[in-house]
Amino acid sequence: MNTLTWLIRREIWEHRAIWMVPAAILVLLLAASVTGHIALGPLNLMEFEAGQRQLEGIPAEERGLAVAVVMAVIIGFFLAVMSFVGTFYALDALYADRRDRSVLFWKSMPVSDLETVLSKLLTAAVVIPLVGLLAGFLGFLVIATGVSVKLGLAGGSASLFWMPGTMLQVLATMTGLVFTYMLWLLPVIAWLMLASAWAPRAPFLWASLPVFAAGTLENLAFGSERVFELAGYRLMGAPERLFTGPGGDWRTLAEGEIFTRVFGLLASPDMWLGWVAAAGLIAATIWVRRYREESI
Amino acid sequence: MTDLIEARGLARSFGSTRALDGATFRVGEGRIVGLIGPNGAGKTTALKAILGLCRYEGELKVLGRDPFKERHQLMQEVCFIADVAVLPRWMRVDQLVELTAHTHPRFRREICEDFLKRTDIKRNSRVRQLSKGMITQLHLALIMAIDARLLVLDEPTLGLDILMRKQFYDTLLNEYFDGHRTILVTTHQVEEVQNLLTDLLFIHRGRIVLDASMDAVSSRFLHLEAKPDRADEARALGPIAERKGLGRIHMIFDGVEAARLAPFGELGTPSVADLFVAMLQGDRA
Repeated sequence: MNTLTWLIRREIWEHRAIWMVPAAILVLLLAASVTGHIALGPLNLMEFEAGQRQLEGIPAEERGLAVAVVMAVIIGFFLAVMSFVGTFYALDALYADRRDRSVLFWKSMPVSDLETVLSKLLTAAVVIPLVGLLAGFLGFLVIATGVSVKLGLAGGSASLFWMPGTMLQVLATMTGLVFTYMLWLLPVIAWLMLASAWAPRAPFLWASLPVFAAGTLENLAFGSERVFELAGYRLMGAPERLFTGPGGDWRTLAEGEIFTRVFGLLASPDMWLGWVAAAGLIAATIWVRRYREESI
Repeated sequence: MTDLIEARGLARSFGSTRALDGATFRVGEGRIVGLIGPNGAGKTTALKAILGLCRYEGELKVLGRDPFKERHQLMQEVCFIADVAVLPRWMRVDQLVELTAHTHPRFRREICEDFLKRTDIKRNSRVRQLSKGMITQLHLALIMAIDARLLVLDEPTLGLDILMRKQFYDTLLNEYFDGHRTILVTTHQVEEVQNLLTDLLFIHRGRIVLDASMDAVSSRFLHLEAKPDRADEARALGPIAERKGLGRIHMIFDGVEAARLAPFGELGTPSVADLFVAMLQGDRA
């Protein structure tokens, strides 16, 4: 276990985008917040007077909803950024050390290929989304602080925006949703990592071209789009099933309904089929990592 | 003496090329073995097989293990420096030491730190900022701190200047080698290692053409710098190689008594390089 922690630390050392990208955005947010350039859409704070009246005028319940939406938007933005970071990470994870020829050095360490691949999978599926959540929450705090200071300076109540209960609730819910989604995405991450372990070069093409080729061929041959549908479903299936469908979309979801849907998704055959596929792809990745002979 | 490496009929083909063609050899504990061969002779393939980095046919046991199946267990007791296994360029020196300390159970950090102190390597430098010589020193510092039974060196001093090369081998011999550890080394700069070696393995076209200790080599092979007028008589005793140089005739004999050769000129032990050339010519004939 200790080895695994250090291997994950190694990943963060090497792939500095994991923390530098969110850190850079946070710095920008902070700067924008200090100079007062932040616009909060739902609260219309650009027109500050109006925003203040708005915020003070509405009952606590709705204020809670406003805080929740602002928070969800900001964290969501960070998560979207981290999804790009994560995609590039997964594609690079088992390719970078082959490209810079340090792979044989790593193989001179008494670390099994299982541990290596596992450390990279955990980085992609756990560490990167966690960084996204944390950075998103920090980003929200930056903006919330900015808003509070403004409210205070304007003679209003600086604490209007601080609703710790709501914040914790939103954070917990989003954490749950994100990791449900990561569980759904496991086969996709595993696929990217297999491409990363396999590709002689350009892992991105090795990951995407087969899917496009298969989809196009299928379309030409049968006029159907099963491959593209499957790919789309494996990418977006979880949010689709959580936030749309019978019973209303995310705006109209009854309280607690989202949890029912999360558990429903976790228990669904599609989720489990994904895990089976992911296990197969990870096994293949370990195999390729182990037996692929680097040409010298 | 236990054998750390036992290879029997080791073979490996790449397409129609047979990189290893039934190589059979042993490496005993506490030996410093030079694996010498021309380019494409199968040196690197043999080393990769020993390190569990490539598939092979035939039998191979390293420290009693199957290297291909048990690479990561093997790497607890086997270290290697290969020209192709470069240190990760993005990494900082302190990160590298830290990570090795936490992933290698036989790594003794204080030895590594001690060694690094004697170099100009800064802890917060990234590997890419170091000179070629410093990178080798850094790698050596890591290796020296690992209590390994077998050290494999594949062209470890490639691209280093002569001072660095000498320092590298001096350090290895004086500070690393303790009589129990075993070193297997390949290099093109044979002259630089020949005084270091206890054993020779010549490999040619995927086969071992000579497997002998240096002691055995010096008692079996003789170098004769023949007097021009006695050259024919010497030639009658069947040298395995002959070359002319600076108006003299050099011959190498395999298993001919010194007393019989002595009248024809000056006798000596052939250099590893000369012997190697001689063996290869013999093999070709």
